[in-house]
Amino acid sequence: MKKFVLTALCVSSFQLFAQIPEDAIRYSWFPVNGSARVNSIGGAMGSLSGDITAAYVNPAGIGFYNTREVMFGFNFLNQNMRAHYRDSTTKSKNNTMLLSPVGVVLGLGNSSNKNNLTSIAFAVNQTASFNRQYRFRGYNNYSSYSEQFAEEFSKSGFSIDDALQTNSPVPYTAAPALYTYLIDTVRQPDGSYLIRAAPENLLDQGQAVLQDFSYETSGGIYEIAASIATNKNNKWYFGGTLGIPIVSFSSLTQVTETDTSSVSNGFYSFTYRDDFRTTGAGLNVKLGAIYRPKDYIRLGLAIHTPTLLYLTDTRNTSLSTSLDGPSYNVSSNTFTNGKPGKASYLQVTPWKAMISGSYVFREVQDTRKQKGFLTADIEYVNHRGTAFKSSNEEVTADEKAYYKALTKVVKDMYKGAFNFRVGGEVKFNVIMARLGFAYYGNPYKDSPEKAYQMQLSGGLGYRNHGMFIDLGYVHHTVRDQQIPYRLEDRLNTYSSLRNTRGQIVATVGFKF
Amino acid sequence: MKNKIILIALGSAFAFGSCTSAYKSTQTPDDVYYSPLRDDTERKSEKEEEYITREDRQIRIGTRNPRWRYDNDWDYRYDPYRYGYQYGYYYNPYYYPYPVYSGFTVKDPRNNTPRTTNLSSYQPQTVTTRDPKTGQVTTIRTRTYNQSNSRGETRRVIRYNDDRSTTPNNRTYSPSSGGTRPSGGGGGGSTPVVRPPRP
Repeated sequence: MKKFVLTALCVSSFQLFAQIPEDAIRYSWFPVNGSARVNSIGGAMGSLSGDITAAYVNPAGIGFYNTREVMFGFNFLNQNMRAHYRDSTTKSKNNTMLLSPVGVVLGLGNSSNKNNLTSIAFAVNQTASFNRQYRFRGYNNYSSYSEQFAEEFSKSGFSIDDALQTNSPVPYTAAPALYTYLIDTVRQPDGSYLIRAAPENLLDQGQAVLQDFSYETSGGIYEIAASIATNKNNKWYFGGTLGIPIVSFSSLTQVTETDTSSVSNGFYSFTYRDDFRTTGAGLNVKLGAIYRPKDYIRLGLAIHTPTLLYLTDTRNTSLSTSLDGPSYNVSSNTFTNGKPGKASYLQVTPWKAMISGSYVFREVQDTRKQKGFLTADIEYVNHRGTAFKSSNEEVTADEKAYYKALTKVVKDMYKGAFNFRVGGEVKFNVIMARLGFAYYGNPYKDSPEKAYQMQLSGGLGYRNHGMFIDLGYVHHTVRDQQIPYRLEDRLNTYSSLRNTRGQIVATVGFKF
Repeated sequence: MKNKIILIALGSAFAFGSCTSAYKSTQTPDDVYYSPLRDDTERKSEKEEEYITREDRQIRIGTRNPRWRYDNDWDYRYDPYRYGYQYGYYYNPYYYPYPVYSGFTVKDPRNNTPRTTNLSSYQPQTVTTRDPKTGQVTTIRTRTYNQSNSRGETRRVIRYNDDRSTTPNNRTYSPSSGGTRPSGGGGGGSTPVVRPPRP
């Protein structure tokens, strides 16, 4: 019955305002990005404390501060992407910068009230980076990217006149495809009409198209955090962070398909460009506790509430189609009243929770006797918990139905996943050396290949004369896959993505 | 935004780097291991030195900004720039000496269909198998993929006389909209777009 209701919703509300299920994972599947010290130990910060990154992981860690410090930092990222698509492999690379936490921590306690101390922190951090550039290409004798436009238009129930208007209900996909004759109606012997994409002519004859996909994404999540934490008798530490994430995401996708046969079949090539931007802001709360049952031992628990994101999308596409002979070009602006379309919606990201433990060898004031620590986190993220809701002024029943169905599809596509982080430090008075490891589990319920993210990290630190300098290097390996287009009546094809990143992190801070 | 934050960070670092002196001659605390409390007596003496009365503070603030000179709390109701604001008026003497009515909003007639997608394509595909011995036909829905040009399922040609009941998307052209023409929303009118002629 549930499947029937879902299918009915998918069919009946297909033509409505929408986001896509892939939007869900962007805001939940990314590693911890903190100070150089924290990145060097794999981001394992759930019970460690004493670093401003605690505001973003377990705010109870801010409660350990009785001093005051200000810090800032930056990241440099070198990325290499190896994509395998339909028997062909393509390599690409790019460089980018990220922000590390910038902020101040103020220990407000004093010696007259040792049993109940309070600390606060204010910080800005880039918690996720969307900067990537990659491409993949290959011959395909099974399906065409343009077939999704034919499916979409067939299922919509719109006439060609409905689609081709200055305020079209399908302005970015089917309308440009119809305008440039990439898809069109074909009369059948029984008098009915089928909607066919031009590349189908050669695919049905056993020929192949050469497909080329190019992706360029940029932006990130920049989160402002205000934290307060309290220390009860040096045994219990409680903290909370009010987070205001600011989202900026840009994506430029270019898809080209070319006829590889030498015969005339009514199609030569098309190039489709999709310029898409998402901006917005949101709100979340992070709550945490750290317990010190005895000296050296720390146990942590933290819960991050779902983030409520108020987002606005703007989009513009263009399509250039070359049939065997004539060529046609059009921009989606032709179908969106002359300017890029714009839509607003609410997205609720998944909640996460973590438990942590640390062994800190010698919690003494004399820095010459401080020897090091070991720390580990286990985190659970409910990736299937993303929900969407329209925030347009007048929400129709169909629109509500679409967002409900979209949320259901996200639940079916993703699953909860465990993440593991472990790290340690060895301290030699003013010099410190660190190592770390992190593993972020597969968020897909059903995927062609297993996806994961893994980090190996190391770093050095120097702390003296009222300041500290930390340097770190993180080697990321990301295994993922991308389904560049989806068809309802054919099997999907995908690209295996292997992304390796080298990240150099530096942080400078001052005690005052 | 990133550049602005980096600039603020560099500025802050320079400012703090030049004025920090608390731990220059002593050990620098490492709060991961131990965070020393500040001496309370030292803080009290600092407080006493810095103590000023409320009246002094009022005078100090008033010398910097006349709006705080005669009143303890600034009340926006007396702000000429906000006179009648809630009724749709605004006031700016550099522009016009009297309040100007602005009680209307301009609606941006934007198309608001950002990304439409066929959610049914995210559902598992239907695969039909026939048992060679019994001839029984079994239909299951599963997620399988076609990732190679030489292996896996071959392409099915979609024909007008396909069995429509077993085809999830038959790609027929059967417009169902009648009466009002569907639009991309967001207000504004809509006019037909004529396709270029096809030879």
